[in-house]
Amino acid sequence: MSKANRKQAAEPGKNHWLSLNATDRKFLIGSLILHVVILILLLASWQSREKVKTVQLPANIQARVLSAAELKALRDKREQAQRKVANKKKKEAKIKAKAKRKKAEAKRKKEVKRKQEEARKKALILKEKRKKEKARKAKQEKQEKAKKKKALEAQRQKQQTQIKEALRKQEQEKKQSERELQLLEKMREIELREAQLQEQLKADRKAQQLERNQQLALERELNETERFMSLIRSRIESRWHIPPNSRKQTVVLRINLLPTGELAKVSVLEASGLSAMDQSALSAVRSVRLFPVPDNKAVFEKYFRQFSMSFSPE
Amino acid sequence: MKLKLVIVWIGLMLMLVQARAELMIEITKGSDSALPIAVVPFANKGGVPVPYDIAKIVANDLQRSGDFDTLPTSRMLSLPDQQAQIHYRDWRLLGQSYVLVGQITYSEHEKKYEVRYELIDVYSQKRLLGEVISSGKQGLRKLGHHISDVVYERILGVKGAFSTKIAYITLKQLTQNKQEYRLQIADADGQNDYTLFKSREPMLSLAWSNDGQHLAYTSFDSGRPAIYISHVKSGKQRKVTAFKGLNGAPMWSPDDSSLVMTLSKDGNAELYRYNLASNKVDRLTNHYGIDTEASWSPDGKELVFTSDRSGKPQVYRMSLKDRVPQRLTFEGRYNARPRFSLDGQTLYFVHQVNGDFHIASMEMASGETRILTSTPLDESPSLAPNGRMIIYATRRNNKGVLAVVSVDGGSKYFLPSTHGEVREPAWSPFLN
Repeated sequence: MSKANRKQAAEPGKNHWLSLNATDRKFLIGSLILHVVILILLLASWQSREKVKTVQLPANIQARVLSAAELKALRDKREQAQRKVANKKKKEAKIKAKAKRKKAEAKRKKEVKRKQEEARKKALILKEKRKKEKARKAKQEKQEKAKKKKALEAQRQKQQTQIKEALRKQEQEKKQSERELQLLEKMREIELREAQLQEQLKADRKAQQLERNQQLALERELNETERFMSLIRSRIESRWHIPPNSRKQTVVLRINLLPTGELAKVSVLEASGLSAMDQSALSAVRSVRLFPVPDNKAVFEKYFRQFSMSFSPE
Repeated sequence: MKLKLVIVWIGLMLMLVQARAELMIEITKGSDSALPIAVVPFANKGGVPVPYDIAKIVANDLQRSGDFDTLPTSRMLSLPDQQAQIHYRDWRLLGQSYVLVGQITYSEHEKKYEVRYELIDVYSQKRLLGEVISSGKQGLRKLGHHISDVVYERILGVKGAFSTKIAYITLKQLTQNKQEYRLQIADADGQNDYTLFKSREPMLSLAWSNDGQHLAYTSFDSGRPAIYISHVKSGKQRKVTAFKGLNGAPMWSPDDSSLVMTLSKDGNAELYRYNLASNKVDRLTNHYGIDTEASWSPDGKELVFTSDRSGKPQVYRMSLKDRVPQRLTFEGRYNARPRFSLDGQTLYFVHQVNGDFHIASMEMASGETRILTSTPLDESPSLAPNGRMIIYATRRNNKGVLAVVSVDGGSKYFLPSTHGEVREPAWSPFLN
C-alpha cells in the first residue's frame, strides 16, 4: 500500500471516498447496507416483544351535564392527568431511552468495535483483495498485454495474411487474368484450330465425298467396263471358230476402236505360233461390225479406245 | 551412249507398263457353229464345158468336214470370179468370213483345164490364197479336193484330208450260197471307187500302211484266216502270216517296219508283233483272255487293244517296254476296237450303250467318255489322217453302209455305196 492510500484510509472523508476504486466502494456500501439491515432487524425484534394491553370498558356509563367551567376544569384536570401520565410516560420513556441509549451506546460501541474489527478484517481482505486484484490486474494486464500483443500479432498476422491474401489474390488475379488471357488465347487457338479443323473436316469431307464419288464413278466405270467387256467377249465368242489342234495355244491381239464401236485397227500382239490360230482370232475380231462400246467417252477412251484380247481355247 | 541406253530402257519400260495397264479381254470359248464360207461357182472362161463343178466339189468337201458352213449359191448376191469383183459389204451382210472365187479355162493345146482360184478373207479384205493349177478331165475331181485341202489348211491350220482315200470291204450276195467280197478303194468322199480285188471268201480288218502304199488285211481266201499285204497301186498281194488258228487284226507300226496282229498259234488269241523285214513274230501278251484289235500309239511306244481278260471286252493300254496291260475303259459292258487320236490324248472306240453299239471318244487324261454317233450298230472306226473325222461302218435301211463323223460328233454324213453291204472301212494316210 502506498503512503497516500494509507492516509486516505486513516481519514475518512470525501477525498478518501473518492480515492476508493469502484470495487472498494461497492464493498463499503455493501457493509453499510448490511449494518442498517441488522439494525432494522434488531429494532423490529424489540418492538415485537411489547405486549398489547387490553382495556376493559365499564359496564355502565353515567352521563351528566356539565357546565363549561366544569367541563373546562374536567378538561384541564384530564389534561393535567394526561400530562402527568404523559410526563410520567415521558420520564419512563426517558429512563428507558437512557437505558436504551446506554444499551445502544454499548451496542454501538460493540458494533463500532466489531465494525472496526470487521473493517480491519475487511481492510485486510480488501488489502488481500487489492493485492489479488492487483495481481489479477497485473495478470489481466499481462494477459491483456499478451492478448493485445496476441491481437497485435494476430492483427499483424492478419494484416500479413491479408497482405499475403491480397498479394495472393493479386497474384491469383494476375494469374487468373493471365490464365484467362492464356485461356482466351487458347480458346482463340482452339477456335482457330476448331475452325481449321472444321475447314480440314470440310475439306476431308469434300475429299471423301470426292473420293467416294470417284470410287462410285470408278465402280460404275468398272461395272460399265465389265458389262461392255462381257458384251464384247460374247460377240467375239460367237464368232471365233477355234481351229483344230490349237489347244494350249494363245494369241493376243491389240484392238483399236473408234468411239462409234467400229474397228479401227487390229494387230497381233503375241502370236500363237499357229497361223490358223492367229488368223481365226483376227477373223473373229474383224467379223464384228460394231463393237459394243460405252457412251461414256471417258470410259471409252480409258478402256476401249485400245485394249487387248487373248484367245486361248479351254 | 550409256545415257541413250538408259533413255531407251526407260521408254521400253514405260511402253511395257502401258501395255500391261491395257484392258485385257480373255476369250476361252468359241462358236460351236461351223465357219461360214462362200464357195462361188468358178466361172468358165472358155467355151468348152467343164465336166465337173469344181466349186461344188470344194463346197461339198468343206461342208462335209463339219468345220465349214458353205453358203448356197442361191443366196449369193453376186458371183465374182476374182478378188477385184468382190463387194465385201455384200458378203459381210451375208455373214461370210471367207469367199472362194475362181475361174476355169480350157487349154485346147494342152487339153487341160486351168483353174485359177483365190481365197479372200472378207473382214480383212485380203487374199489368203491364190493359185493356178491345171488338170486333165480325169483329174478335175482330184483338183477340186486339192483346193479343198489347201483352203482347209489355210483357214484351220490343219491339212485337209479330202484328197485321201478310203478302203473298205463290200459284200454282195450273188446267190444263196455265193457271196462276193471286194476290197474297194475310193476317194474320201466315196466317189471314184474301184475294186482292188475280189474274193469269194471273207476279208476283214483293213489297215493302210503309213506310206499309203500298202494295205494289210485278214483274208479267208485260202480257206482259213491269213494276213495279207496288198500293194495299192498294182494290186499285188502277199501272204504274211498263216499260222495255225487265228491270224487277224493287223495294224502297221508308225514306221511301217512291223505289224501288230492277233495270232492264236500258241493256243490262245494273243498279240504279236510281226517284223516285216525278218518275218519274225514276237509275242506281246500272255493271258488266257482274248487279246485282239491292237492299234499303235502315234509314237509307236504303246499299244491299245481289246481284251476280255476281265470277262467282257474292254480296252487296255500296254507299253511295249514293260508289256503290262492297263485297263482304260470301265463304262459299259463292251468297249472295243480302240484307235488313238493323232496327239495320243484321245481314244476312239466302239462302245456299247443300252444294247446299241456306238463310236465313242475318251479323253485319256480325264477318262471322260463321249458318244459320237447315234446309229445302233456302229463299228470299225478309222481316223482320217488329219485326225478330224472318223469313218465307221454302220447300218442304214437294213444295209451296211459307211458313215463319217467329226471327232467332236458335230458333223455326220453317209457315204454312197454301189456294191451291196459295206464294212470294215480304213482311212488312208495322206497320199502324195
